Amino acid sequence: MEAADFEQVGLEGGVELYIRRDRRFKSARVDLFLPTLLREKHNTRLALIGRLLERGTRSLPDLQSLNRFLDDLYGAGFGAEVELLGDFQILHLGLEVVAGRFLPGGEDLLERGARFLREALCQPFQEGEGFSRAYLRQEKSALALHIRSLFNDKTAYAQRRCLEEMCRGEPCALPAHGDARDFRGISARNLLGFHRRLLARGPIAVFATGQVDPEQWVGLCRELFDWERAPEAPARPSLSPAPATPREICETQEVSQARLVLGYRTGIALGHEDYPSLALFNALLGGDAQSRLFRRVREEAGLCYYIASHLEPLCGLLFIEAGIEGDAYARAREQIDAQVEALRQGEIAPGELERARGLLRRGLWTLDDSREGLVRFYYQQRLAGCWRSRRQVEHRLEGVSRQDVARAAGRVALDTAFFLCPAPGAPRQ
Amino acid sequence: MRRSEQALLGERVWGDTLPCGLELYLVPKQGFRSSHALLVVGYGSIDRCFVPPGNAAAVEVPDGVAHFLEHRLFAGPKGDVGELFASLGAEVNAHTTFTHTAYFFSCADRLEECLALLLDFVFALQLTPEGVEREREIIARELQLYGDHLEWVSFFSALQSLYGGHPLGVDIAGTPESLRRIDREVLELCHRSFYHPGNMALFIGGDIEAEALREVVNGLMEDRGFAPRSGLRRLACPDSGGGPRVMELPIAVPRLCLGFRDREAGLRGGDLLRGELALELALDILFGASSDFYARHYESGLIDAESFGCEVYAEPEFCFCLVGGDTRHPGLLQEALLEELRRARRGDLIERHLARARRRAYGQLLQRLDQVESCVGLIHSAISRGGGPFDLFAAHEQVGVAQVYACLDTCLDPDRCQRSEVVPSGEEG
Repeated sequence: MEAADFEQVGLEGGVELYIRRDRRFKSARVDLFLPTLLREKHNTRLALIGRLLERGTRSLPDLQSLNRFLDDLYGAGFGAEVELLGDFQILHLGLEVVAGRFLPGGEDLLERGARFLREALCQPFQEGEGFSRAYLRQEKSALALHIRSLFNDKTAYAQRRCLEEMCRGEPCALPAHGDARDFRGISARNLLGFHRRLLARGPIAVFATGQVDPEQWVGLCRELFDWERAPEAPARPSLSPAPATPREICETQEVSQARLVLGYRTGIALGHEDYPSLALFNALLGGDAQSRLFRRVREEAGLCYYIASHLEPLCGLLFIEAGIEGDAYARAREQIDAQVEALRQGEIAPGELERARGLLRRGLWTLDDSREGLVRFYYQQRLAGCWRSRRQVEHRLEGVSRQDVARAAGRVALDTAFFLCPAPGAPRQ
Repeated sequence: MRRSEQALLGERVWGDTLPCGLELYLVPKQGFRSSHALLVVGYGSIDRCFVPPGNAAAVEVPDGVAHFLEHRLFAGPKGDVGELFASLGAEVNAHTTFTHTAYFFSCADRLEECLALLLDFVFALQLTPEGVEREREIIARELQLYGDHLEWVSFFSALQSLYGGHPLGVDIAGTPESLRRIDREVLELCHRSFYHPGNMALFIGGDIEAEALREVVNGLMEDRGFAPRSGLRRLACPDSGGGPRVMELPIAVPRLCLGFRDREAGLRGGDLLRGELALELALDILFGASSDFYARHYESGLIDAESFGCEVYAEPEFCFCLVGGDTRHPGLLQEALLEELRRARRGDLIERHLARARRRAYGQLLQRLDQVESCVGLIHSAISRGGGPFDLFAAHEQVGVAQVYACLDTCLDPDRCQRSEVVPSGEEG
């Protein structure tokens, strides 16, 4: 029987600690997650907060002193990212510090780093009762610029537009970076109030991995997470079905290659008993360079430069993305549909299924070579309300038959086809 | 086998030159589940002119052959290479750079079978007219796709501003025109000339037994019956320099890039790695996230956190750095960057901040040891440039303030910088 991947400790105020001491690494890594359900206007607030937390703290009041502090900790990695996972928007603070035993002076950096992390989260640089007004003004402007620059990456743009059209009105359609039109209602003062409520009510999970002494770490965390908290579990909306007739949306832009994104609903989210079957379906369809889409649509039919599928585990969505010629829309759609349909009919060779199962199995067992991967694996489950060890997940994968995959495939329904087409000339259909 | 050690870090590397000429480096990383192997062929996009072994005369080949070969070898003598690796539970990939072609895989088990496969397919070039034609189409499409990609367009635009028609200024995959001139004969000539073990190095990292693995690799190579060989001679291409460049793309915000060529080009080994570190330290002190420049211009909105940055490319054949990012005011940013370089030559900026910049750089170097793949990459990066396995660490003990100042003159000279810009096209922006 393997040891659990993480030691779990619950602190007062609902702070969950997950600890994995791993001496293969030369550094200690801390990941703190504070999730909230995506909501209009709130998403813009959280996006700004993430940026402001990187700007300064009470004792390191500006960007330069903060960065110089991190330099002094031997280039400690620090970031306050605002991320999306399904219908959650998550404030994710990360810190990585080299262990003292590998440094010339032998100084311990983790405690200094952890105290800094707490200050960055709870005591951002303040002016009166709010964030700094100047910083907020600058970050609004930087965020607006960032939102505009997202337009530059056409592949990511097409992906985002598909999700937006497909899930309009649902939380998961909202972007992590918010909307510049919300800026007017956001002041330095009401934003800090919003942040304080989040700190008091949001469920906090802290993962520590690598060169960490569990006992010392728990003691330190008891001291650091000392503020009054009453966490509330967010109420998530139920999964929506696909429309009877799939939506088709076409946009033209000056791109040299067209991007096709197909969004499907599966009704099977992480934690659902059929999720392992869906995961295998995805692996077979477009999980890697040996999958159906890659071999049949790219290699054999030569219809695209890249093609792959991926799952959005929390809302049970599946996406297929491809870069194709502007006039290949109908042919690509036809080929892709044929591959999905074949899997629905259970046309799966035994060797093919075993190969896909092997792919997922190895993915599970090599997860802990990278700390980020292992942390995400468990944190996703935590958000989805389930907690299965890698061994349990593997066991469930072993039990999936060809018929199970076909059944999961039967629940995969196309919702939206988004086509970004080179101008001029719309797709010929 | 030669043993190199970094005692404080507890890292060691075994090196050997096998009888066939292949350089072998083994990097034990105890406890990791994945192994990573990297086979590096000394053949890159800049090798346009060379004297093939056994030839008297030099040849000039079309741009993009190294990349074309990399693609074509994946067709494999026994079927698609990606599929064969997948059947062993491994993932394989490759890339071509200016100076080399690298083939690499990660596997959870069956390392020896994967190595046999790797050392099989790279030597077995099989060309059919249809295969060459199809590859040409795929690469043409790849070129087209990258043509939309801001990072890529901006990078090559900067290189053109520095190197003009030299192969450094040409896309690694070639041009639509050069692709048309690549035929079977050229591919075979280049494969024969460069794909010899004497022009290759193999790096393997993971939970491995060095002695035993050396025997395995040696056995695999003996089976292939290569004899040591000499006579390959690379010729430098005419280098007339470039000039300012402006490109258009459908983007929202302009991107500015300033390029600087190092006059000290031609160094190798420790000298080159120290020169690279000195440049990185200088750029970090001047423009890094802790610099006065960054604080001032981030707050004024002239630069953003996402795209602004500096990169150093230091190889025995060339050395340059690029500085820039997205900005609403390219002219102002250029002036500010150049003014900062002038200021650094007058004042004591470097002295005041060197200790901090060094701590940061050293900590970040250490963190690269935390993954098998990045660790193997680190060792390769030192070896392929003529250094010893741990010379990147040694450089940190050797670079002093004088060397950092020196690179302000040899490379970061405001009077010798080249400007390139990508600007919004059409109605966007």
